[in-house]
Amino acid sequence: MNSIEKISKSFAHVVSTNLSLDSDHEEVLAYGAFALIQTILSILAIAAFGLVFGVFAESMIISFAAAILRKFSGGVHATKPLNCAVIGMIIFGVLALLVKHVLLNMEFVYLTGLLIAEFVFVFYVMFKYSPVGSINKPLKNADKRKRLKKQSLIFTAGMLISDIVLTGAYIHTYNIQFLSIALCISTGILWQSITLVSLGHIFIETLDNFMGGTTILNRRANK
Amino acid sequence: MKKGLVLKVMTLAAVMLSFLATTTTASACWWGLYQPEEPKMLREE
Repeated sequence: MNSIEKISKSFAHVVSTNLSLDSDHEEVLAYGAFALIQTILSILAIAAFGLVFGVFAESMIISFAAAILRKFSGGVHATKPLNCAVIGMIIFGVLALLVKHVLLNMEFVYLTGLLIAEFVFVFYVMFKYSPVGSINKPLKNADKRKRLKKQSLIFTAGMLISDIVLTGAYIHTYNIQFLSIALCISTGILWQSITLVSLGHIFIETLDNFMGGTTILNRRANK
Repeated sequence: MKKGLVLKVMTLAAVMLSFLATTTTASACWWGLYQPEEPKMLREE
């Protein structure tokens, strides 16, 4: 058992003892506490990387865009909470650096082409693969799978509209911040869509295994 | 007085954590790159 799990279970035990709850409810509280701690730690790790390398806003936008889409589309997972925080920090940090120092220096016409290609790819992946379950959370219910696919596509469409508006605002004002936000959003959802296909699975598994994990068990559990 | 306050705080914590657990279960997966096993009570069979 890892330390986050220990803290979550201890806290849940204290709460359930005080409220005289049964073990099933205690398990739910521990799960909720784990979600809270793990999310806070992941955000703090990404924020720390962003602050150190001067890409705080970029890394936050990319990670939130990817995380929201992830709630609907699922994807590959690391086998340890620490691996999750570290891999997330590295990936979102590197993507933020890529946006700030590479993509924003590209010719606008190439960037527009890149954004169009990105959204075509994301829509294709969401339509074909979303949602992807895992060994700890297989998605077997057909209605739920249908709902999640629909939500994935709606969210992607929402992000496409946001990107069009932001790019339009950049064309009218030449304020680079608009273009930066648009690129961060598209990069975040592109990364999330990659985690649904084999390339993303292999990439995350390699990083996870390098850090002592065994993600091979997580492969497309619902397929 | 102190016991009543502790009970209120515990109840609030229980409500918040239960809400978080339930909303997490309704989605495809966890926020980040790690997915723990779901509690029996919230698992879809």
